[in-house]
Amino acid sequence: MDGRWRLQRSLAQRGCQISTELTQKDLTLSLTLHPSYFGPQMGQYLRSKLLADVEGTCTGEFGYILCVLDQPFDIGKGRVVPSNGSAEFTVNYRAIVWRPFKNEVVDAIVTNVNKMGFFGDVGPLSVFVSSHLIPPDMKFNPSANPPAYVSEDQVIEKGSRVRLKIVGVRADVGEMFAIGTIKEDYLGLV
Amino acid sequence: MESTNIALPASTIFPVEVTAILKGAGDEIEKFAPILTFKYWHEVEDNIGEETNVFPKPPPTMVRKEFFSNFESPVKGQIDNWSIKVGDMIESADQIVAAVQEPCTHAVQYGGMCAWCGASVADEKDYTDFSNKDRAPISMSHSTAGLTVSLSEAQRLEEGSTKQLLKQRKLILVVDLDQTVIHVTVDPTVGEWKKDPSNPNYDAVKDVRVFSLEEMTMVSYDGGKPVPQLCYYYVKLRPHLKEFLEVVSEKYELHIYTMATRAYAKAIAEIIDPDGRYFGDRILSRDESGSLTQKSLQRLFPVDTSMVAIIDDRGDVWKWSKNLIRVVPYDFFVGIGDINSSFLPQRAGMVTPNKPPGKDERIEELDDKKEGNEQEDNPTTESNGTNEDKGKEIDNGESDEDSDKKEHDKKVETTEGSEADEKSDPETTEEATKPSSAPAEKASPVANMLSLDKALPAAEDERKCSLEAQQKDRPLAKLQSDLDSASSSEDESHEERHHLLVDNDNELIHVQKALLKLHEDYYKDYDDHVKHHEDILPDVQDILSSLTYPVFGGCVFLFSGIIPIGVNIQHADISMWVKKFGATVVEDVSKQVTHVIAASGNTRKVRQASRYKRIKFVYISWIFDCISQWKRVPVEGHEIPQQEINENGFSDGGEHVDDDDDDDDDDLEAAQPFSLSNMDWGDELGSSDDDEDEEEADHADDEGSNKRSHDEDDDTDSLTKRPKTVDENDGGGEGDDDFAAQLEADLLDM
Repeated sequence: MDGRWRLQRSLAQRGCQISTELTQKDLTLSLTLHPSYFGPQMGQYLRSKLLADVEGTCTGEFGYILCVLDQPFDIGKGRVVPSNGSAEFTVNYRAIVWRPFKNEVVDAIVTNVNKMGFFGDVGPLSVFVSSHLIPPDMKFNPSANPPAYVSEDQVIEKGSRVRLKIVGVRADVGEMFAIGTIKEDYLGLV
Repeated sequence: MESTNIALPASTIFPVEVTAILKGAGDEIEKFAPILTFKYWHEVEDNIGEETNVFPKPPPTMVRKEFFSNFESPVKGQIDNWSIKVGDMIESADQIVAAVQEPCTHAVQYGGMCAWCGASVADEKDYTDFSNKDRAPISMSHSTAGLTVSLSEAQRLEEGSTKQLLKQRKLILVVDLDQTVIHVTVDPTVGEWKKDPSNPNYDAVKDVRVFSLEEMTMVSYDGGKPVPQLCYYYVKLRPHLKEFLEVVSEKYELHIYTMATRAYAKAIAEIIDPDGRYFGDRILSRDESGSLTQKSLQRLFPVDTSMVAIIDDRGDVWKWSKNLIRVVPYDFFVGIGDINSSFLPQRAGMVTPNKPPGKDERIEELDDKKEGNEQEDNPTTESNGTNEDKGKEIDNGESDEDSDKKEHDKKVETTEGSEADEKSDPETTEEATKPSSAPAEKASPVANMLSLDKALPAAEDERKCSLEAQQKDRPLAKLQSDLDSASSSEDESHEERHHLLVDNDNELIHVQKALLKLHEDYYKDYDDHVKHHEDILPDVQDILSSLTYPVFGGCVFLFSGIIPIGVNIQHADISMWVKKFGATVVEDVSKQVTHVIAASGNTRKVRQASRYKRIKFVYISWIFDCISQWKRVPVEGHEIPQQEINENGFSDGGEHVDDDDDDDDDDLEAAQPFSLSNMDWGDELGSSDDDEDEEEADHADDEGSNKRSHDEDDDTDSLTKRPKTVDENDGGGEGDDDFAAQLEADLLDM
């Protein structure tokens, strides 16, 4: 499968806009293989195991690993682990990673609106925009269906596209959290 | 903006004396900046460092010494004012030192960050003993548990929504799903019936909705990742649900609060509210609830619950909250119960209005032929069918088809007597003819002992187990085939097969009426308050009580043969329920009793009570009629026929006493020989079918009664059968004695 095509697909699946800051990164992963997999299909197996293990995951250091590229892809020789017969491979691969930064302006799709604010998805990242960081002329209307923040000419509801600025990012084990604001110029509904 | 009060950390050695204040009011301070110095006293070893050649070393002499230290601000901001001055003594960490105006109070937090300023607040407590995380302890949003707010922010948010509600003249209604507005089963039989118009149950199940969720299989045998499997759920909407939601949503803001998983709750919401008009995103599921055994209004409305009403089929999970409108459980798929209840504690003394259609007796008769005397051997069988075999520790009745069937049989068996009144009272028939069987829940004692965290995987497994068992065992198919075989052997001339599922539940109509009344009264009160310029808002709790209390106000109930043994009578589900409607529940026959609620006319308490002419004898159906209509309906039609009470050896009218006789105890004394002579420990009963109920009722009676004569214990047969109960307040000690005596006798025999 062509790497670029896979990237596009995976971005589209996650609703991510290509314009955001994406970087290529050379990474390594150590994979342990049970002897029953030793054989002609081993390389293929390691490759799919790598994809399953890292694609779509999140590390605190690099952010989200969006897509593993085909080139360069180095499985290495592998080393049999003494005492249990498994083999350990150190796989060097290149991946497209995405890490949100503070003060970065991103586009998000609103997923959930409540009285405390709204959540927007920026690709794999969920950003919370508190009602304090929404312009004061946008009022929460719980009786609207779906619930929405409404001003005279704008409605932010589930499914709306908003441009927001990230004011804080925190990486936890396996996930990232972000706080956003739309209370500045040129932010808000797009 | 309100300021933050700061105090010395708890780790300080108190008391301390303030020696200097380093910053004045109005000064900007950084975090960790020293703001005051103080001195404190501590006992230390005097002779430290002194080299002595004396052996053994002399014990250290303790000396109280003076130390100096400074206090560093745990927060950043501007000092508003000092609450202390130089020379003051500070006794504890509760004493506020200063008020600081912070640039951000981190009152809303998400994922370890302040949602206002983006600063990280998840760090461990720093050395100043101050944790930002503790400042937003309340989780009040429906969907995301990661979002927390501070108390003041919660108040602000609630004030906002209260204003909005008052403007729209609405209240809030929290709705439970399972067995309140829907009934769900995973029994694939329903799917087959749904496709087969010739099936007798087709009419009842044709509008059953189906959805599927991915369930992880319990064990993956290959050691790999567990493979998700599709699990099909069959959802029956409670009759009149659509109309109910339509009408009620105009007066109430609706919320879903369920103990099911989020995926399940969403799927159900999709079915009952496809446009999201009624509930929107206001769905709270087990995943976000924060507790697996309790529901709490504070989870959604942490500050003010005065505008909230709840409808749920269980009172115990809400701790019988005053906002609760308890509804009769919807039990459409016979014997299935609540498929999401394995996390919940068992329902103690749960009673449902079980009035099976007469034809179900055929199953019973058939099974009687098959099973012979088997049932008589089981002394713990409860007369109202709410109790399954005590020995079983399996949570759900459906996990064991046999027990399920038995349970069903018993229920049928015991309500024979109520058939007569069922026919005479169309209202009741409509209301409660569904062949409901109470969900037989028995949480294993081991599971109860486990803490919540440990219980989670266990209970989850249990749930999956019971789901799988239900899919495999198909309890519904079995019941239907029993019904078929019963009817075919009975009347072959009749071509039509009898159907198992009956679809005639009217509870929601009553609930709807009640809710509209509640809304009307609330806003009548509110308008009064506004007119008189009072600032207080009316409280739903008060209005609910004022509506429900008169229903049984002044009534004193005595249950007989209704509450299983081993259940505390005062805390039994049905007792709590009627207490909400103003009734008083007693355990013994006395002059104060106004109604005896009995399963049949031949329990001992009924016989004891029949001496008082004023006491009315009614079936449990009367209670349910009153409860669901929120008014005291006439007892006519629910009364236990006098001849049924009399025919069990109570024909001697001379024993009846007048109400105005003052001395109750004397009456009881007088009555004792009589009741003894009429004891029915065995064959004296009219119908042998009732042996079990009779015995059961008597046991319940025994356990509840203080005044029980010891002579009655002569019957050793009953002694051996009596299960040992510990929960019981009154009879507990005595039961233990009996048990000990029995044990001794057994030992001697050996």
